[in-house]
Amino acid sequence: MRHFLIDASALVPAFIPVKDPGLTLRVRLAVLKLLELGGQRRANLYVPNFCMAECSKVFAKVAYRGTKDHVRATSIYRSYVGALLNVVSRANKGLIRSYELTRPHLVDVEDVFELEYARFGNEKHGFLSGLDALVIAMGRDLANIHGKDNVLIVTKDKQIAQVCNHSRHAFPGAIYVLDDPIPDR
Amino acid sequence: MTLKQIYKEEHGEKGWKKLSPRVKKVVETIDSLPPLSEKPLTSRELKEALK
Repeated sequence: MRHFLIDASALVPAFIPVKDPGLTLRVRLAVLKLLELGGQRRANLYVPNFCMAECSKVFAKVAYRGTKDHVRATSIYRSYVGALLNVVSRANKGLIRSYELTRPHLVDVEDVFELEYARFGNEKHGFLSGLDALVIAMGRDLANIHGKDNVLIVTKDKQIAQVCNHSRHAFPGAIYVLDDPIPDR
Repeated sequence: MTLKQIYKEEHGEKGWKKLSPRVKKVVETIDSLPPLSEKPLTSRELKEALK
């Protein structure tokens, strides 16, 4: 069975439609495919618990920005957080499970940065944030449990995907949702 | 475009009917959310919000 670790960059677009779907449509299709696999019990879906906070941050930014009606914005923001908790929840047996951050993940972050800078140190594009590195460390943890070939990180962050896919000896593979399909098996 | 519409475009009405009730419920929950912002968001604005 496959185990997919989905980060906030891949999950958020499923909740927020945009007026010019374009590439966002691919992200939403990828999430639908993941939900389908999860619903058929052909895959386990996880979201790092801190990515829930990242999703909430985006909901809050969008809901409160550009409005004077604070009460209405709060009500809408809460409905999004409620829906997220409904989808990602152990207690509600949500389709996606929240994956807890633990101390070993924080330790493993060092390996992530060392490998990133060894491989991409001279390039001009952006580098991983601390939270990005934690996503990879949690993916590695899942790979240690379920086997590297059975775990995939799902992201819309190119750097996360590149670091994982160029360091397969150390990390699980990653699906960059704008380019890569979600495998059926 | 709602998630349900996207799914139906990809898999047709038959595909939607075959989808597990749990997934349908999730899709319908998300689709029933009110617009998050007063003006519809652009892809660029969503990308900015993710930063």
